Amino acid sequence: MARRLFIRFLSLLAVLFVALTLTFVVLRKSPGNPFIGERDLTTEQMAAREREYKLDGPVWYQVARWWGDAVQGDFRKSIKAKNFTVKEILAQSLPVSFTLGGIAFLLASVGGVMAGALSAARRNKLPDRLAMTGALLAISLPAFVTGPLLVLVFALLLGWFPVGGWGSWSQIVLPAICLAIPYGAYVARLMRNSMIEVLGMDFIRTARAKGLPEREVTGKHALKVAILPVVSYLGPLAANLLTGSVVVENVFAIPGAGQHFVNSIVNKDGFLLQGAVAVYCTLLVGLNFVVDILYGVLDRRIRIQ
Amino acid sequence: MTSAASIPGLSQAAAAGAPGGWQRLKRDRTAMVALGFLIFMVVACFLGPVLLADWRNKPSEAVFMSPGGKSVFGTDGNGRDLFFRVLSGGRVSLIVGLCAAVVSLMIGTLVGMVAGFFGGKVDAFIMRVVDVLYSMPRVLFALVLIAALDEPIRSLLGGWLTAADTAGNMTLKESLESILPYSRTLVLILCLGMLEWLTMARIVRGQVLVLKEQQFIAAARCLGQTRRRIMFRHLLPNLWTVILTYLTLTIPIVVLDESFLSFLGLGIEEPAASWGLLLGEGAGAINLIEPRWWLPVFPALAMTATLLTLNFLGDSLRDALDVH
Repeated sequence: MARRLFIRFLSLLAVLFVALTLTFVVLRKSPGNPFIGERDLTTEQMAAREREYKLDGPVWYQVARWWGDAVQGDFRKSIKAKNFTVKEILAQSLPVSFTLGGIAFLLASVGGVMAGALSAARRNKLPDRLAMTGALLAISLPAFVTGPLLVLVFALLLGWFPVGGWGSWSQIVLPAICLAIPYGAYVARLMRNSMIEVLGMDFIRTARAKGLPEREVTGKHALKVAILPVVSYLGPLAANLLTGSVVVENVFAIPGAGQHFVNSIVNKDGFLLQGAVAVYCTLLVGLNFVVDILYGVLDRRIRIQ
Repeated sequence: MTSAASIPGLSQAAAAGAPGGWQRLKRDRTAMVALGFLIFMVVACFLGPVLLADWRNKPSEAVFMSPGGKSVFGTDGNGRDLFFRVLSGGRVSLIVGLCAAVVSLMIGTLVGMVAGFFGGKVDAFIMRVVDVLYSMPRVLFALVLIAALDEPIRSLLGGWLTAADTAGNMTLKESLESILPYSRTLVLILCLGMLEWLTMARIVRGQVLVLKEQQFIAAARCLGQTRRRIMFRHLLPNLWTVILTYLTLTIPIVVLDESFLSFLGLGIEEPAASWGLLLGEGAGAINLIEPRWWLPVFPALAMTATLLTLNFLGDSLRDALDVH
């Protein structure tokens, strides 16, 4: 068991290494360069800039030096926001995204599991039809439609919540809902399908035959098994939600980390992007590892393979 | 889409995996309504802009007119008719959605088939690559691919244009000239197609792993057929149901991706329109003093309805054909 976990851990580290190296190379090799915006630089000035930021020489050499700095905890300065290190930028924006994403994660996972389980228990009845049509609608709507819609109804017309901004709890509600909607819908669909499958299994018939109340059959026995596919989706779900979303941050004027993904790519700010991707990948890979272990705990048949 | 036309031809292949799948689908009233609405939407988006009068797409004095009168959907900030814009935007969105989905399915099917059929080290390697790509943020690839493809495609089309000009081929020249402003569409199709194949590769691989143990593959092997022939003549026909189902489910994802990029100002560019671009413009128009609600509402309705029906149809196909 411990040996298997260790091997799994090593392979996840390898994925992290390859993903980050690939990100560096892909951005460096794509057209354009980070210094283009700064007036007209001569070839010599450009070369000097590249030396200053350790971006001279062949690409593999640049990546190797970046890794050398990164493992020592130095993620370098942002190329565009010159006075800030990548760490400082992320230290400011990540707590915001983590708070918002954490709440959205709770909403999406708990809400999705409950809606999916209830739908499956009332399969093909009206509540099921309504919930599943709603879920389908939710995954068909982009966040920049739901966002302004939520603002229009709950902020402008009803005045329950502020339009946007960051700082108070009431400002978190609308963006968290907006962020959670499509993911919650996905979880609900996943949960419903898996629950329906489990409800057809023999041990459920046994539980019913024992005379257990229906609530206990679905809520306890079936739920435990049916939740497994959802558990394996929790890793990517959390990684996506916690690193922020450009669209939601844009619509609700939130100073989160999602914007840095897009801006750093557009500006070719390679070091900031590396920092952001490092956070995203570490979360994804780390959470997948946790989910693997959790899976073994939840389902004794599997353990870690 | 074209799936409606190709259903009869597919029924025999489908019969191998799911007996009576098409009959079951035909009895599914939701699926048939969804299919009907989709056909209506496609016809409207493709014929509408051609049949409607030209003045609708020209900038005019009548800016931000609320719906009514000559413009049923109102007009935008340049005085263009929103009804026309929604239809022509739908055309671009649907073309990008369908073409990019087809590109991604081709890549995904090929990769998945190779991984599943060859198995062993080839399979392990391909699946690790897919894992790595899964763990990288997709927006990174989208933006990098757009930056990388934009210039080459523009110059490629420009090169063809000069070639057609010197060769004196006027019809080709004219058609190329009309395509040139839409080169971004082509870029998006390629870019999104190269992004969305991961899920397809996994699903096809799983399906091939099951199929290749069946007797008809063993029979084909015994007859001494080449691997390539087995893959394309024996495996591929049995994958059609999976491919068709995931085609209907990939189109909405691609349309959403395109709208996301257009919202960021990195997708389709003016004067061309797409639903995402119209929505981005419309979302910026929401305010308390002058709520120009029609700007976001009509594109949102058109897009949501289309994506919803596509997802409905995809779900029904998956149930009817018993694909997982």
